[in-house]
Amino acid sequence: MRTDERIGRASFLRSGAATAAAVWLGSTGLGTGNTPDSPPSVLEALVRTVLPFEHPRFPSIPSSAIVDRIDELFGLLSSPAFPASLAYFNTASRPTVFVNLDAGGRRAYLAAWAHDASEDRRRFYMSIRAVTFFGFYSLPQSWPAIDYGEPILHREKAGE
Amino acid sequence: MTAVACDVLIIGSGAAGATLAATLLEQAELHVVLVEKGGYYGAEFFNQRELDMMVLLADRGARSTVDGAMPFVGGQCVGGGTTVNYALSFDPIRSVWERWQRDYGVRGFSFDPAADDYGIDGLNLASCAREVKRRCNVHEPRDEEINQNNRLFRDGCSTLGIAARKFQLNMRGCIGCGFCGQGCAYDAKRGTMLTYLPDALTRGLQLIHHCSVDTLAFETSSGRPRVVGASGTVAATAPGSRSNTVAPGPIVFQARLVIVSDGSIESPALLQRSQHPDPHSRIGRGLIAHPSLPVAAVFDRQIHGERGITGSYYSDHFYAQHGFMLECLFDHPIDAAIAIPGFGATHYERMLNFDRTAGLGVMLVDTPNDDNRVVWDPAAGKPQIVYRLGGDDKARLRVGARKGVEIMFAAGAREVVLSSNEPILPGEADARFTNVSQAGACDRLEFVPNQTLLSSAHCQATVKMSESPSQGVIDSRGESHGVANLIVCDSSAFPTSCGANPMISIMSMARYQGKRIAGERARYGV
Repeated sequence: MRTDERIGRASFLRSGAATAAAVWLGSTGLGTGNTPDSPPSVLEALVRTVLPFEHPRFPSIPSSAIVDRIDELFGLLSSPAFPASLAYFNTASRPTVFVNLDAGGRRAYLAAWAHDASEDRRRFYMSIRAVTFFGFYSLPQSWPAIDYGEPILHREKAGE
Repeated sequence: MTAVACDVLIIGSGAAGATLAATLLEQAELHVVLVEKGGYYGAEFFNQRELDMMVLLADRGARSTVDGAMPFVGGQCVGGGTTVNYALSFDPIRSVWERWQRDYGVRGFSFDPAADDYGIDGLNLASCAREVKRRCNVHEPRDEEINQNNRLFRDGCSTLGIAARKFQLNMRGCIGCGFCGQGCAYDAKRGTMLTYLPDALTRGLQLIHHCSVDTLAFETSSGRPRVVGASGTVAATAPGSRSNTVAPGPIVFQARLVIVSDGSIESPALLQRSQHPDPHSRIGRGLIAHPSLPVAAVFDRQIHGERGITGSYYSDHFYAQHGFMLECLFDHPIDAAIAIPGFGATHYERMLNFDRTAGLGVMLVDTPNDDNRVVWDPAAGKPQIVYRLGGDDKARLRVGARKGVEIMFAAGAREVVLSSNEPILPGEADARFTNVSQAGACDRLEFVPNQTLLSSAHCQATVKMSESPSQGVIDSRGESHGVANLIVCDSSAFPTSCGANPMISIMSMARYQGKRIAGERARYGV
């Protein structure tokens, strides 16, 4: 059995990696928001802002797949705090609502959080980009475009 | 409930714990038990995938300061940091230990290879360091092993008249795969898992992994507390780990001597939750982080810094005056993406240059500050890390950032970015430089938390060694000032920064303490 098969995604989750982003995002000091937009839809809008799906060299991976992967890896959407943080982010600048903005508006909205005086908002920005990059750049489909050499494990050397 | 009785219980299997175990068993017939919180993963498990290998790290790579601003990367697996580091090996720095003697009253640890510290034949730090380096095959890489990233760093330094040196590396038979940080799949990196641990296992060591030690057990009937063991929990063996020597469930240890070697975050936390006496509020205080700032640069040709030996060159040119080192390093895509500032198309365009990107880190030897600390948080069930960069440290790190930018341009970079979205340049959303004349903008960096990403992989000095109980938690023997038969031996024992990447300093200290303990067995009743 190959090592990557042996570890497997489910095993990785059982081993506790799912706590990672919950640590980052679950304990931010953001308030809670009330929004009709579902947490997955807000997260997907964020993912579509952090990653340029429209870029000509971006691999053909749907944004929903990245959202699913982030949730699979980190269990964020079922955590107690994260959906509330997403809702707050979505509506913190009412009447402006993040998910209702066009792509340029979303970029400006997120950039404002990146440079906000509130440390909690900056933390949210840094965390959301981190978990998105975890979700995307851990996918082998993301590697050819950046010419990443990929793992080069030669198991024959280890006698397998 | 599993009950284990032993002469010596060592908590933590990293640079210190495994070295101690092997040294004790080499010198004396003892029943030594070594416990490790993480799993026992070997070459057969290391699959070179960043995400999967996060299981080797504390908090699965998410350990950070309480404000979330600064990752504190550390190994949590058998071998500890020596399993997941880049093999960068620095000798113990004599001037640092002499300063500790002067400022903290630290005794012993002679740099004279003919010294017999504590009256023990041949006991001195110089000999211990030499033995550690030999056991771990510490050596400089050959010129033909230097990858393109490191060559550019060397050339950039040379152009500017900045001295660059080769690292010493604890490797043997390295094939240059570039995955040191994910665990060596070829058993080429000579960490403790492949050196001192097998030595100790051969001599009868009992290794228990997946074992969290909740508290130390103190006995107080004779007045001064005395450690008599510990209690904890053994978790089920995780997929991919080697098998364990005990069944999952609660576990209690009875030991004559307990040595805490759990690192600078977990060791003070264990003492705190065990209610270790702390009359001077020293436990956890004065955390040293060696904060590191990534510098990335794009060139017009392929570099593939992810291939080959990750770190071969560094510069200590500015160390004496400014207290930082420039270390040539590189990340794989996840960590690289996080370190490179920005998002959206701007960030992706930068990532599309991944194969033409070079990297280095500015590593600061930070100033001791009691406000920087580790505090056990019973509600969270984990240690909280509080760390902020002081004003003088910011000033020195600005110099380091500027030198890093200048070296990259001198090497031929067409664009340099720091891991920061502080708008230090007009018209730029983050710290992006397109020519060397802009390097002076580094003077405007404020290192704003959650805006500039600094990271730590060398935490130290949270259970300081000093002959004075008002300065330190332990004395020069590593013995607790407050609890008998309790020794702390790991990076937390350093009074301040050891001055460089700490692995060999930790191992040398552990080798030294192992020999000393074996030479003074009666002192501990073992």
